[in-house]
Amino acid sequence: MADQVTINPNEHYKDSKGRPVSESSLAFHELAEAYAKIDGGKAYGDYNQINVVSGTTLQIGPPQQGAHDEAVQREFKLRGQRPNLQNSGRAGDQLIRDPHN
Amino acid sequence: MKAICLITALITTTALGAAQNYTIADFADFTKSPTEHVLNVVEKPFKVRSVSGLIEFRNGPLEPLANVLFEIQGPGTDRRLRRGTTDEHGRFKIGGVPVGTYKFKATLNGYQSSVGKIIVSKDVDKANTIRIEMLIGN
Repeated sequence: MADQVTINPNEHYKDSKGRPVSESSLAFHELAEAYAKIDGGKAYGDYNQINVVSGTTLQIGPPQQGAHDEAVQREFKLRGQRPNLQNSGRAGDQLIRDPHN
Repeated sequence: MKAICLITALITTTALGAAQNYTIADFADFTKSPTEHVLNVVEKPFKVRSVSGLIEFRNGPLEPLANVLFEIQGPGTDRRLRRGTTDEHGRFKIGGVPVGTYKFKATLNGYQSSVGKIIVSKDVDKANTIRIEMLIGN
């Protein structure tokens, strides 16, 4: 599996708390998400593991965290270690891209 | 000719009204797709006589996008939501919308959502329509 990350420095985002999201935060989130996809083989969104239990019988397993949510957890970990980041926007949050922000 | 008319209408609709800053909270009542991460703000309000239009995505050339949920909330501070869904030609219509100002959101799983403002008015050319280009999600 491959992935590609690009950051457009001319685009500006705010998170759900209205905080501006820095380019470094975007880069961290997108790279963490790409890592989860490539090394973890994960899809973007959360999913259910499907197991073959016997012959052709399939069993839907417990929900698994997708690449986006795994990247979000890494963001929380980083922010826990860097208190100065607490007041900045979080790239893994729901974002709004506004040409006037 | 049809394309020229459509482009003219698009320019007309996007040239009217003031741009506005939004936050995520402004669209809290709207439907959120399971993979939604980014809301794109359509810069200028659409000024139309009725709420109908075309939603496309760019896959090389623009292609119509089916099954997009198009919601509007209003008029003004009224929190009532009205909904429509695009057909296989990317077209949608929400009938019986009273005159006023509405927020809109176009949503489809796997795509970035588009949000913005619609002004429904009787003093607008009938040819004015809503046209949105959706971006593939990340």
